[in-house]
Amino acid sequence: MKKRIAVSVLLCLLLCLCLSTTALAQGSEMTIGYVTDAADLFTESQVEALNDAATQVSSEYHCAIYAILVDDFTQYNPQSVEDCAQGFYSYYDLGFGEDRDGLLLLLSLEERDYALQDYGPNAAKWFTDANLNRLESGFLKYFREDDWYNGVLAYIQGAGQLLSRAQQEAQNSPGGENDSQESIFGFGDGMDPITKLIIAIAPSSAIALAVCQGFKSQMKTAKERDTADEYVVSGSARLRVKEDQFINRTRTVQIIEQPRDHGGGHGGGFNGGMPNHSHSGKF
Amino acid sequence: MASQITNFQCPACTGPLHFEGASGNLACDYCGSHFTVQEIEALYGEKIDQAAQAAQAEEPVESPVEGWNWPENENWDAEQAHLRSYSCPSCGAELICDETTVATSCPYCGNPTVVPAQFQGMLKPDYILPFKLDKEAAVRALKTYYQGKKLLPKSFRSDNHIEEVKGVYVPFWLFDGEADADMEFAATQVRVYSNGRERVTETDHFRVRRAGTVAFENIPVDASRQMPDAHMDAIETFDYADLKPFSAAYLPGYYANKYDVEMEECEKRANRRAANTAVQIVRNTVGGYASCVPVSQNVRLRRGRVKYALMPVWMLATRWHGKTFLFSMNGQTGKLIGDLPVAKDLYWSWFARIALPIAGVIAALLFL
Ligand SMILES: [Zn+2]
Ligand SMILES: [Zn+2]
Repeated sequence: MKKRIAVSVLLCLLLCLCLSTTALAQGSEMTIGYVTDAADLFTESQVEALNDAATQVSSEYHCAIYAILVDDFTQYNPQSVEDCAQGFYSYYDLGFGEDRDGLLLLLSLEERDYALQDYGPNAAKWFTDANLNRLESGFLKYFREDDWYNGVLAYIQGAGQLLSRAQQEAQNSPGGENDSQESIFGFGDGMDPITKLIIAIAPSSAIALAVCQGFKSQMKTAKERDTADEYVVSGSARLRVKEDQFINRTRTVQIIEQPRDHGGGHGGGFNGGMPNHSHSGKF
Repeated sequence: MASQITNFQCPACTGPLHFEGASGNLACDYCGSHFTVQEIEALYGEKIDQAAQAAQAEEPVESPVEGWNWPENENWDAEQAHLRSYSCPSCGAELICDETTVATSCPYCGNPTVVPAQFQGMLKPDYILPFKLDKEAAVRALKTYYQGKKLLPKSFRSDNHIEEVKGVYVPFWLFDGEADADMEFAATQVRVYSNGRERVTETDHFRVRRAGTVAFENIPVDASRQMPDAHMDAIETFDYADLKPFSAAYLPGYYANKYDVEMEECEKRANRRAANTAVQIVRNTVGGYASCVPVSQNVRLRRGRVKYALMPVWMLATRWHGKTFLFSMNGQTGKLIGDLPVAKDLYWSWFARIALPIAGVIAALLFL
C-alpha cells in the first residue's frame, strides 16, 4: 500500500508540472520501467516478469513497449485518458533510441478507461490502426474479466508479434518506401516502365472484365430463386422485439500531418511528443 | 370396355378442340366454332367420370419403355420414365404417355386427350391458371429474346431452329405460411471530428436485437420432376387473380402433368425462400447505424394452407450445332427465360474493345 501511494504521488506531482509547461516536459531526468503498476495490482515478482517480457520485445524490435496502470487518470490529467497517456510519454521521455519509437498502454481502473498510443516515425509504420485494433481485441478480453496480469502479458506478446510481422514485411518489400506511392499521384514521375505498364493494364482489364461479365450474365437467365419477396402478405410484417443497447465507446485519434518542409528529407523524427495513432475506450 | 381416356371433339363437326387463351373459350380447329368452358364441361363431364371409373376398374399396365426427356438439364430425371399406353377413342391408335400425363394430344389424329384418372379425388388440382398467350406469342418472344445479347454467336440467330414448342400445364404447390425471425446484430455509430491538429473518431458500439413475423401467400414451387427448378423459378411471377377452380375444359390443346414431387419435399424450397425474405425484412428494420453485422439469427416457420395448382408454361426447345437449348415462357405474363450459348471470340473482342482505349489513356498520362 505504501508503495502504491508513493508511486501515485510521484506520478501526480510530475504530471502536474508537465501540464503547466510543455517545455519542461522535454529532457526530464526521471525514468520509469516498461511496466509501471501505480494501481498496486501486481506482486513484485509479477512486475518483474512483465518487465522482463517487455524488455525483451523492446530490445529485439527496437520499439519500447510500455504499460502504465493507474487508479484514476484524472489525478494526473483531468482532460482525457489520451492526454494523460501523452503526458506520461513526453514527461518521462519514453521511447527507444533517437527516434523514440514506442507503444504505450495506459489503464485507469476507476472508470475502466484505457488509451493505446504509438510514438515515433518507425512505430508509425509498424502500427497501423488495424494492427492496434487487433492488439486491443487481444488484451481487452482479459481486462474485462479483471485478469490484469494476463491482459498486460497479452499486450506485450501481441505487440511483439505485430512488430515481428511488420518488420518482416518491410524487409521483404524493398523500395516499399512512401516515395513510390507518392509518384502515382504525380502521374508516373520516376516510375519504371514495367510498373507503369501494369498500372495502365490492371484497372482497364478490371473494367472490361466487369462489363463482359455483365454481358455474359444476360445469357444465363434460368436461375433458381432464394427469396419470396413477391409473396409477402402486404401489411403482415410485425416487429415483436426492438432493442438497441449501448455497450461501449472507443476513440481513435489521428494526428493530422502538417505539411513537411521539403529538402529536410526524413529528418522529421519524433513528432513533437504527439502520438501517431491514439486509441481509447472502456474495458 | 370403356376407354380410360377422353377426347375433346367439336360438338358441331367432331374436329379437335383447343382452349384459346385470348378469348378464354374452346375453339374448333376445323369449323371455327367457339364454346364456353361451361358448355364443354356440361358435355364432357359425364364422359370424364366414366373414364375415371374405367381406370379404377383396370389398373393400367406399366411398361418400362425408354422415355423422351428434355435433354441437357441436370434437373431432368435421367431415369427411364415409366410409361403407360392407352388407345385413342377417336382413331384407335396406341397412345404412349408418361405416367404423370394428365393431358396430351393423339399424335395420329391430333385430337386433344385427357386422362381423367390423373385428376380425380386426391389428385384433383385446386386451381388452374388458364393459358393467356398462344404458341405464336411464344415463338415471337423467343425471337425478341435474342435481341441485344452481345455475346450471342452470330450463327445462332440464323442456324438455330425451333424443334418443339409445347404448352404445358405444370403442377405447382402454392404455400401459405408465416416466418418468425429473431436476430441479433453488432452495430456501430461513428462520429468523426477534428480540432485542427487531431482527427478524432468516436465509435459507439451497440447490441441490437430485432424479432418479427411476416406472412406469406402462395409461394409457388413446381412439383414436376421433368421441369427444371431454375426455369420454373425464373418465369415467376404469376398473377393469381386469374386462378380458376380446376376444370378439365382448360386442358384441350395443351400438355399437362400431375405432380410427382411430394408437397413435403417442395415445402423445403418454399421454406428456404420465406426464411431468407423474413431475415431481410427484419434486417431492414435496423436503421441509423454506420455498420450493422448480424451476430445470430433464429428463424421459425409455420406452414399454412397448401394448394395444388396447374400453371401455364410454354416450353421451347431449339437445336444449334448439335446441342439442344431449352427456353420457358410464362403462359400468362409472357416472361421468357433460357440459357444461351456464349461466343468466346465475341467475349474477347468486347474485352479488347473496352480495355484497350482505357489502358491507352492511362498509359498516355503515365508516359507523356
Ligand atoms: Zn368444329
Ligand atoms: Zn387418335
